[in-house]
Amino acid sequence: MKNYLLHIISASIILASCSSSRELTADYYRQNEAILVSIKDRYKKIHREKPFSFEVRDKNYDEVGIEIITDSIRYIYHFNPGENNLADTLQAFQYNVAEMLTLFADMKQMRCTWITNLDYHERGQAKFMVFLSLRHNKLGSKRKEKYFTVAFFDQPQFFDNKGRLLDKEKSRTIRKINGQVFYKINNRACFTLSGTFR
Amino acid sequence: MVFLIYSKAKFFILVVYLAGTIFAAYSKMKQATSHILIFLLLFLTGLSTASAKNNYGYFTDSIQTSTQSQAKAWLDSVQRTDSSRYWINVHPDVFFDNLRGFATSPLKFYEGRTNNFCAYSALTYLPLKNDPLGFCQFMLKLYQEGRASYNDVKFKPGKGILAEAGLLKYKGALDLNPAAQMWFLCLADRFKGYLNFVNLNFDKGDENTLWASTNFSKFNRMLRKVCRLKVRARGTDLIRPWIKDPYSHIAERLQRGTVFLYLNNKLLYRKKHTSSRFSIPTHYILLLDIQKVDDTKINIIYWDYGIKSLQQISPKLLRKAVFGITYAPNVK
Repeated sequence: MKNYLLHIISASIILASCSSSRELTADYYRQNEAILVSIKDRYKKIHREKPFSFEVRDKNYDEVGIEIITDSIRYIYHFNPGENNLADTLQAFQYNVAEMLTLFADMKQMRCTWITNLDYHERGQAKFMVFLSLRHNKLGSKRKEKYFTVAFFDQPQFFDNKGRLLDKEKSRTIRKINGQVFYKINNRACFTLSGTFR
Repeated sequence: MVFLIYSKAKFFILVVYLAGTIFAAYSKMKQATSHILIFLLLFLTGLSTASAKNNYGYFTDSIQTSTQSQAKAWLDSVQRTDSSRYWINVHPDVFFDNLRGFATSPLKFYEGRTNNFCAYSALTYLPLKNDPLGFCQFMLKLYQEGRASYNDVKFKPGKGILAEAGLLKYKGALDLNPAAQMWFLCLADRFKGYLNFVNLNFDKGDENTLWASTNFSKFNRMLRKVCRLKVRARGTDLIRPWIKDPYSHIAERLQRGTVFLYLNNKLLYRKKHTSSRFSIPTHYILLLDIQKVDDTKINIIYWDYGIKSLQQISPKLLRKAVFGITYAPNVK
């Protein structure tokens, strides 16, 4: 009897902690929607002309990385944001330096750790989503899932009654992105909590 | 010397594995015993195969056996077949488009995301570069007959593999490349290393598990057999090679042949902000060039995930990341 009770109590604690994490992240998104959507829109605009991804390589923003993608090669550079090398490199690759540095500053403010344009395939056609990860302070340093990742789609997506992202309409197959199940925020955005940011 | 270090590493891995299995024997006696027996059998087979490689008796002088234009001309001339009765989920039109991609854009060959196919993708660079015609002919035979040989290596995939190719999903551009899925699954099914012992038979989703993983010895063995090349290797699965100056060592070999690096991917592509004390290699890349910028920076130009990349790293990071260096000379 004691064991039985113990199981029920542990299961309730686990369920409660899962739902509170989801509520936390959904609330967090709602509170910061304007800035997150702005980061996504500006990223998409720059990416359309000159593809790139941006990463933060340590907790204190002491090292950042940029991946500049050309037709033939991808350049991966790491910088100390305090130095001029980042701006010089952006200049060399003909980016609008001021626009890029403002974007990175906003990302830093939101604790974004990774932004990229990720491909996925539907009915034999390649499509793209913006994949944005944040290091979520409220998740605490001891949790394994430290990163709150949002996937922004161009088209409305389909979800099951538990809010999980589905493969396509009228499908029961759950679509995984980077091996993770994503949950609905709205028709074009979904999130997951993950141990990794990319 | 190389083989001495190599055999020392193998011995170390054997000791670690045996210790693990003896420990496991307390809980599951039967399973542990079968693991020990299988491991010893394959380890001894591996040793004898490795020593036979030192003769290099069967190699010829040229490694370039066909060209891209020959492969394209052959693909234009060959009559398109109906659906394969073996590869039921691979549509013939898509299959032929994939073969054309192999012949025309070998550097776009993509291993997919969140799976363990990087080793198979890295080594495929050599057949695509040196023998695109032979590789396309092999792939067509495999598609039509459900079995085929490449450089005398026989591939006879089981029912699970035949049914799965074409169905792998959420892997990026690999979703659209059932021919590459066929090849990766066949390689993973055909070659086994000690990491695969815990999961020898394919089940759905195993492309992401230890079933598809590749230890360093298995990678070198695959390269020798599939590409019929002399292969020299330094390094192990757990201990970094003892090389005084990795940059000079790698640069010198790169001038004379093809170099593959076996490295700790977490250092190359950081995925989280906590560092683990236990560092292990998990990724294979084809190294295309290495340049010293100054005393603190090295440019490595490599190929993985279907794209050429230039990454600027420090000499310290190069030393920390590289666990294995495989070198295949440009002559046979």
